[in-house]
Amino acid sequence: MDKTEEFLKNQFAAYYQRKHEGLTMPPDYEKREFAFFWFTRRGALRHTSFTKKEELIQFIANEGPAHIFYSAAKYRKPDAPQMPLKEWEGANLIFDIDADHLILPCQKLHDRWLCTECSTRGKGQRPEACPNCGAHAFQELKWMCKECLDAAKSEAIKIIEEFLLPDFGIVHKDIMIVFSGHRGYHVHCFTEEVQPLGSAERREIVDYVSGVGLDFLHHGLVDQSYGIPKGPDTRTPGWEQKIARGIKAIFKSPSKISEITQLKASQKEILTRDAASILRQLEESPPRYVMPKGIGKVAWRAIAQFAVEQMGAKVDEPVTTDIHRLIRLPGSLHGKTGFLVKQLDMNSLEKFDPFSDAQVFEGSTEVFVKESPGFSLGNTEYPPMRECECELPLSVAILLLGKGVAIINE
Amino acid sequence: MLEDTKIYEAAKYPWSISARRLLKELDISLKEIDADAQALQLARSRLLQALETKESASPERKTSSEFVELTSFFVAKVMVDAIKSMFFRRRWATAEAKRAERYFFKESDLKLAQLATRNFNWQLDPKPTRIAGREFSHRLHFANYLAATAGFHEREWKLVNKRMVSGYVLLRKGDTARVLRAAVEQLLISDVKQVTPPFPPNIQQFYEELEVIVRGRTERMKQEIMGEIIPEAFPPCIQALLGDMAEGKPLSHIARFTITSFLLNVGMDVDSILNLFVKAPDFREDLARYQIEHIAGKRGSTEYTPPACAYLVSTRLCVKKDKYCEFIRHPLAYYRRRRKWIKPKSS
Ligand code: SF4
Ligand SMILES: [Zn+2]
Ligand SMILES: [Zn+2]
Repeated sequence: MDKTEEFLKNQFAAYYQRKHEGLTMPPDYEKREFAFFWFTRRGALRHTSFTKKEELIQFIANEGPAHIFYSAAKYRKPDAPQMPLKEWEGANLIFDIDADHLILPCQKLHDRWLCTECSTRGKGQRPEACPNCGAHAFQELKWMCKECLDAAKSEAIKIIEEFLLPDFGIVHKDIMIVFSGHRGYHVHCFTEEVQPLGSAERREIVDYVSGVGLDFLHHGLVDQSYGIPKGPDTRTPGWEQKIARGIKAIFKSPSKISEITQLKASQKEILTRDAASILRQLEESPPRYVMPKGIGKVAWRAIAQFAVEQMGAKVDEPVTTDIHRLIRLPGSLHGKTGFLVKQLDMNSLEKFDPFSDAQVFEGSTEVFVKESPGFSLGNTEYPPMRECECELPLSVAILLLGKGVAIINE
Repeated sequence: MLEDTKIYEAAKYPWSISARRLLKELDISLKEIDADAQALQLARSRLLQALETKESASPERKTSSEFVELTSFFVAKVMVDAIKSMFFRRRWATAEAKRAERYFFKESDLKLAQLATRNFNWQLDPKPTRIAGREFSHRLHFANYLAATAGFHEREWKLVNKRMVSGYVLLRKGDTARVLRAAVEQLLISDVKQVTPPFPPNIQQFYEELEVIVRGRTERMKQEIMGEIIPEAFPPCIQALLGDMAEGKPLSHIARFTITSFLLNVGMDVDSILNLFVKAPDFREDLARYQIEHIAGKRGSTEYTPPACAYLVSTRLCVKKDKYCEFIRHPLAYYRRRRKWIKPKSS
């Protein structure tokens, strides 16, 4: 057996032996499917269920799985081998916010890809096809930093504060926030009313929080053939208020105007020049949408559309719409990082720093680092490393081993 | 007097819980209705018009009493249950729901809310609100809203285009009536009772006539849908399962999964498959639909394939194996091969 995999398995098993208070069993866990992925084996163990928390703890303390998932759905027969036989009874509403789905400047610094056909390398998000040979097969190394995790965090906060609480009326106690252990956050809603919703209904919810399919006509933006266009008002609830705030935000920091791709250069110039006076009129009550000469209906729509995109939350749609989704168990460890999949609330979320608050391993160990980017963990900066046999703190070693950029020498 | 208003209400909303309770109290038998030519006549026109136009022929109280109206609905539903055609049931449900909607418009805001709460367990409140120059009459919990409008395609019904506050979608009166209509339709589609002939003589005659008409319509529909599917090329195991279904025999989970995934994979749509299941003794539209749709996966990309022959052999679903089976290991492979041979030359 591979020494690296064996080492990770033992470390995880030992962790679960000594610490498991953090494991949060979801409500009605006896009705949920549990699934496990391994360090030392391919494939997954699926369709298992537990009637006692102790059984689960004993199992993972023995087996040291790399990843532990449970189903957002409840089933009459959670351990039936095929989906149609499980007899679905409802599912939590979940949102997955992952830096993978955000385009961020830091990715250029820490993400890499390698074309498996021709060995062309590049930085940032992998291209659709290899620029050299056109192949679609890549090896990727995705890293994370404060910047991308902060971006994911603010999306999670946005979903909760802009949508779930005010518009959907979901109460704090029904919301669980979880750090994914890697590059993002999960938001779980246990609200009774959402349980029976099917996939199509959940897609509507995703469309709502991301502003997809939004028609301005229904949100206060009325086209008028002449005179002053009537615009969205911050005092009306729902999306209208968000659009109005989004538009104001654009004129508050006029550098944003240049990001609106559908505007002509001349229009951008006019809007930037007049930003302050436009903003002043928007601040009136009711707001006055007075546009300078040269800004017609089309430009106006482009601005409003940009506001929608800014205000909408970026979530991974398939996770929410899949009513059989498996999701990480809070209190488990992420096999690619060794980070704790940590349960948070609104208060702890604000201050949460995965690079120190999700670290569970103590001590140090010797590993061989093949090649790793620079990063910081705990309060320490680690420079890029290459082909070095070095003694590292255990949490750092496990991160590098999990990411596959280091090994334990035979 | 009280009885009168009760019957009046029940005739308007014959699918409602209170109408059903009243029918039970009145304890009318099919035998009694059999003697009521008016009720049978009205049931006939309700059903035939539904089948043709998806509109209900129920008159706005011209010719018939409320009592006749109520019993005509009752006997019509017995017919729909007995005929076991999903296509027919849908048309009838649509027509009856549209009829209800016409009455909804005339109800008070409070009455509408009460109807929704009692019959559908909805969180619907009368709540006059004025936002940006628009009048809203009700608010409905978003989960109820989504479940009811799942089949709506117009942009204006998308949740993102609704005003939502604290978990409630604001609705105008017309919207409320429209959403309620969808709930009535869903109720009528999913409320399937096991009914089997024979019936009292007049109803029996009505039933037989109706069955011929409905079969004719569904055959036409089926031929349009099944155009490219060649049932003669189905392997023996699948043919056997289809035979069992036609006879209304109960199927095991594995058998249902096998037949459903097979039919989906050869291109049959969910509704047509549902139609095949209608005869099952334990049929429940909502469950069956859910299962089929799950096997179908999202957006037509079939998620599951039927089990391979080896598995079907071990679960005893492989029956009457024939000579073509020697060359294949999967029922779908059988179909693909055989189809090439059978395919009509015309296309
Ligand atoms: S061998 Fe396969 S295709 Fe033929 S009857 Fe048996 S299960 Fe069906
Ligand atoms: Zn290449
Ligand atoms: Zn980053």
